Amino acid sequence: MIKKYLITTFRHLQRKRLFTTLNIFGLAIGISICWVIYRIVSYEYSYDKELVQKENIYRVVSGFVFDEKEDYNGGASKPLYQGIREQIDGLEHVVPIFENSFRSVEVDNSFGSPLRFDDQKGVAAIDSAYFNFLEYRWLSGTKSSFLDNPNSVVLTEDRAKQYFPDQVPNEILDRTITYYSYRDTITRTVAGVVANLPQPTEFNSHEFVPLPYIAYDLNIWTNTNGSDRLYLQLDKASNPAIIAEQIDDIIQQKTKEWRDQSENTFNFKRWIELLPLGESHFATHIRESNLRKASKPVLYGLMGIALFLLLLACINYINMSVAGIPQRTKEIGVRKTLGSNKKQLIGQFLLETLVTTVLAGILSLALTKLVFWFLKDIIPEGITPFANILEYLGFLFVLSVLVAILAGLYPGWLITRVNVISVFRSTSLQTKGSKGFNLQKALIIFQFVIALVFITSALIIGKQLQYSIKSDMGFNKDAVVLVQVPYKYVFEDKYDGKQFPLLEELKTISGIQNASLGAAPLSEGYASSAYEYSEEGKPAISRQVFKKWVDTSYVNLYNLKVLAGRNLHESDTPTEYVINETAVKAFGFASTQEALGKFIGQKDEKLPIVGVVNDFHMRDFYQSIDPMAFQMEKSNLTNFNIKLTSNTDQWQSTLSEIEQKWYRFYPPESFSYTFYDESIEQMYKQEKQLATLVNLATFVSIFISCLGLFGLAVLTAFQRTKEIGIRKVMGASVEGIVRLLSKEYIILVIIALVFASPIAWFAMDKWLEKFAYRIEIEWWIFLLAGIAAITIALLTVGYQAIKAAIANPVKSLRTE
Amino acid sequence: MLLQLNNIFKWVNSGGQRIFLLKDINLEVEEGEFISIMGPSGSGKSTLLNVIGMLDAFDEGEYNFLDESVHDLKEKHRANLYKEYIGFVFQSYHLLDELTVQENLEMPLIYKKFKGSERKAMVADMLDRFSIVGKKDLFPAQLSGGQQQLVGIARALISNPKLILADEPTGNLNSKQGEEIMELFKQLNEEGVTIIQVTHSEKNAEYGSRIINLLDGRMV
Repeated sequence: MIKKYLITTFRHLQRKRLFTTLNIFGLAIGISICWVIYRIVSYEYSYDKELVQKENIYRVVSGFVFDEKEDYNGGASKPLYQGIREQIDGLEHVVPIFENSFRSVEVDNSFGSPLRFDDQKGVAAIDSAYFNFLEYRWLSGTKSSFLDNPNSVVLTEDRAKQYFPDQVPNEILDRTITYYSYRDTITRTVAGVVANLPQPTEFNSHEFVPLPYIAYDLNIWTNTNGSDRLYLQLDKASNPAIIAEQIDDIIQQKTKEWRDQSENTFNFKRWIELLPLGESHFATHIRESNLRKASKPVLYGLMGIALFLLLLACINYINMSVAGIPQRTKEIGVRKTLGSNKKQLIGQFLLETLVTTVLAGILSLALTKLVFWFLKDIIPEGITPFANILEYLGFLFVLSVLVAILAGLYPGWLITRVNVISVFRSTSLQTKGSKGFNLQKALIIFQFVIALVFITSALIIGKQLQYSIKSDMGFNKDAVVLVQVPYKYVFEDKYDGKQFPLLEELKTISGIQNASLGAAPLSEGYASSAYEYSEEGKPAISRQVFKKWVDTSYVNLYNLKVLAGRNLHESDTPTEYVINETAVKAFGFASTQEALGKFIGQKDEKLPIVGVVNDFHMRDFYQSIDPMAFQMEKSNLTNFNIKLTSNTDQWQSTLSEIEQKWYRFYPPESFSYTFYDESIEQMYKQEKQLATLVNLATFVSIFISCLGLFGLAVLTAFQRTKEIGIRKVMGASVEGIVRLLSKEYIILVIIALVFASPIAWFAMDKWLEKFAYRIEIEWWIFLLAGIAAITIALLTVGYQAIKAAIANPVKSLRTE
Repeated sequence: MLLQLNNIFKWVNSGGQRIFLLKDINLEVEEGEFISIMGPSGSGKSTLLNVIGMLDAFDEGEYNFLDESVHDLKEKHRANLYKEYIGFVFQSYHLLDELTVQENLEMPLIYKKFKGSERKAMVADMLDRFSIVGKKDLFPAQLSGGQQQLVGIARALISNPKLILADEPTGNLNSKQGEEIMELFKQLNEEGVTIIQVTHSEKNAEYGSRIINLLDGRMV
């Protein structure tokens, strides 16, 4: 029986090749995107899911208020773990994980020269609590041998493979690794190799060194470093809120002690919060350097996109099926007369849907790879298209059933309502299901609302991105190349002060217009301090001021305008400031001229203002322009800004000349350059990712909607052949018929635009709100989106309309 | 003379063979004639009617309509010609289901670019003439077959054509309704409209002034 049904189903699908193809394609795209997004979302939610005691694990994070701005740091001050262990009860484990950074790591390799790794990450200092807290499988060595030797190290499997390729864990024991940091050099012996933790995990360290017990000074209590992480596992009976309060008490107590001792008046607030481990991965408000974060709103957005795209595909299916019913009435009529009941009819239709979905699932295997390729910048590392084929099949099964029910039930029900007698008797046009036709229209409108929201959003995001990158930032960023002296050489005596002779050498290259040392005007790193200005008889004005260390050619190179006073003079240590207009206003000077000669700065280090430059953007467009002061201090000048001549053909040779000069002062591997405008673009990486995602969603939603529209146009043209024939015989022209057929779709798109515009406006307004400098959402964007949608719709239905219009009416009006 | 067909041939190629649908048709129609075309199924009656109505092309021969050489005319001119002078009546009426009687009548006038007020007058006139004023707001599905055909004829007549082409106009009607329709044709003919009808029924053919018999695409 089932076999019979399957055979007829396949025959039917084959006969309706066009619609089967359209349906399968639409559904396959929906399924692929759903699957990819499901992979991303489930990956993000699977952090540390195998940790048994997960609910009782908390991370200690620090909150601050600086400058009336709240700020969170993922670390806790180093000594805090000792304080907690001494003073607080009800804790199972107190686990400090202090990340160490090294300039380079050298591995003793028994074959020939040692292997060298620069800037290794994931080296953590831990004590016995760590291995009690997390259960590692020891591939070689023991916990005790690690803890007994202060110069030991334990590697994870991954790290061991990197350091000692092709060697088994037992062979690695007692081998030595040398760590070079800025201050000292330590040689450690491998005390063990542990298996990797189940991925993904927040505990991402790969090398463990023993954390010695240190009696910390009081001032260390006030230092918080994001790389010093602290985890707590609470007893089941403990109340996290109370524990958090107790920890906070310790911090407040120590801060007070320190204040009393140092007589420091600097006003800042600090507190402690306990973050449940499950939330840690999503805590995007905490700044962190070594942990990847996932933003919940982004994940919800992704799920929304997946849902909408799948819905679009289902709508297509519904629309095409409903539109196809009049063509099938005869078949249905015959089936009914021969004794098929409602259940069987619906069952047959659902089977058709199921087969279509399964075929779509097979096709989506290939499409998924395509989607992965397209979204490679967005998909976190470690996610593969098909890690587990069973999971995919399960996903496909659930989705197929869901789609079959969602997309198949309504048309199936409509089929059962076909009136047998009218099918056989009626010779005139089928007008059955006029209600269904209205539903179809509503669904098409819904599809276009979604497509238009995406189109509009894509336009606005693109425009804002363009604005952020291309608009005038107050300085000239064209043809500027940045080269940085690597951090590790900055403090090495061997390279001390070498940037200055190199700068002079660079200036002699003919392809270079100007060269300067100093932090680029707009850059990710920045430093700020509270500066004071005090007029006699008035309270001092204190403002947070951004400090930029630059040399004397900087202002000229970036085309900054000196509005009053003069540029900085050459000096080894800061002797004077050049400030920006915002700083002039912030300190309350009446004019730029007025500011000249005034002394500002940190307490006891006040220096005169000698010049004022125009405002320029120092940070991305999310931040407003803040007070800024240029100052010269030779030891802080480590960034080369090189302005090339406008002759772009010459750039390549100029760059290799720069490289040649570089080799005479610094090691060859340290040379790397970026074009400044490109590095500014890099700052908007997240926004670019969003743009990629929205562009993909736009493309897919338009594509799916058009598949549906195309299918519907084909069916409508078919349904209306007779009408078109009559109209032509009555004298309608081809243009008239095309207009008649297309007009309806345009009206649908316009209605969709009416719904979509406010939705898109609301969503985009919310998004733009975060930018301090943003574009206006202008009406023509919506108009453009509408025109784009109408054009696409017309192109989709146009061919069908023209084909229907030029057909010979004699054929359609033949009475048979 | 209204129209003249000289040596009209029409064929289709099927499986390497040429099958003639019309073979050497010669026909002259004077204004005011009422011609019945008869013949068995597949003899080419409808094809001939479509050729006369300029809906279908022919492969060889000459066709003159009111001194215009139809075979030389471009598509657009031909369309203008039949739009102006020819009205069509179909066996299955071919009214548009989603339009009311009144709107169905109005449709050809829209395509002939009549103004709104003119259209209204002409439709009212036609409704009156066929005594279907009371049914003007009904949809075709709400009418009997005979009434639908009445509307179909009214629609064909509304722009005052010189020639009415009717393809089995009574084929879907019962005998009483059929008789009424034929009487109507007769009356229209007397008023000066030229009519060419295709029919199976001897009795209906009798209404005409001339009968043409077709067999396998040939006039006999």
